[in-house]
Amino acid sequence: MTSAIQKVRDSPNSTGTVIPFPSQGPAHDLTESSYFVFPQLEGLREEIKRTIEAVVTEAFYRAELGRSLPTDDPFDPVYISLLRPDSVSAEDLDRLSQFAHVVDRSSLLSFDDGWDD
Amino acid sequence: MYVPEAAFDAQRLLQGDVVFGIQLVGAINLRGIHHHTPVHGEGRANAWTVPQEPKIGAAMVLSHSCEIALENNVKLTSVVLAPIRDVNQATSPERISELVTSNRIDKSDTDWSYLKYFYLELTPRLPFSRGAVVDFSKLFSVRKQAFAHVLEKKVLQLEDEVRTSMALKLALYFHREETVDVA
Repeated sequence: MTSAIQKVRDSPNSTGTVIPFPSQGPAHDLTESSYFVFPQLEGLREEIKRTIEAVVTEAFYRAELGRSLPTDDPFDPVYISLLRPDSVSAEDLDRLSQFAHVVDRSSLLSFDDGWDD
Repeated sequence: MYVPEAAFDAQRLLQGDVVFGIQLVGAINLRGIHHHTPVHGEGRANAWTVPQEPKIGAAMVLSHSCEIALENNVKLTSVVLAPIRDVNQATSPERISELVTSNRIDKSDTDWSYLKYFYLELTPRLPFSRGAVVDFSKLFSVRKQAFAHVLEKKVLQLEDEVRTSMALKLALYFHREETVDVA
């Protein structure tokens, strides 16, 4: 045991009571539950985890997306200039007109799968 | 409803194709989007995230086939998709039979239909025990760089007549006479 650890082991607190320092050995591992248990913060564990994840994610985006990325703009003038008109047949238009009177009952059906608010 | 395995074309993406195992990004909550800036809180945002669990599932290709044909490269700028939903999650199960009956407007004799939804029959290729519906109201598009990824996920191909019925229903979902819904 080093002299530094011995000093800590033997150092009294303000009341003069010696606080035993965890001993070395197979059970001496730096686990969160051994050394960093703060009961008053247990309820905030998930929030702290989310905050850390958000910070790391933002740092990642700054690092990765700060580089200029090749873009492919669907609204680029080159695309527009090369486009040709689509043909629309009278038959297709008639077909739409034929069924345009169909009543929509979609509002009568919903799903409980997280898509509908 | 679906072409047999011998006729399934794994090299082409067609309107009406069903893909499985892709991220569904339709119906995003605009107000919930996080914008990221190079310097925290300053300058123009260069990225954005949506703080919700990713939805990975099935979708149908809605793009017209000629628009997503690789030999027609100029037109291919994006692929339009719509998510597929499990009918077992329907809040009014009794309506599903009506939906099935009126599904193909050009083949049914009803003057009403559930225009927002196109019913897909039960198939072992999809994990929906009573079939599913394509929801046109949740459609989204992905850039053409995702074409190969989408094609790789293709699991079903509609028969030509069924594809025509679906496309007609999609068109009527966006264009129809103003009518009062029947309760």
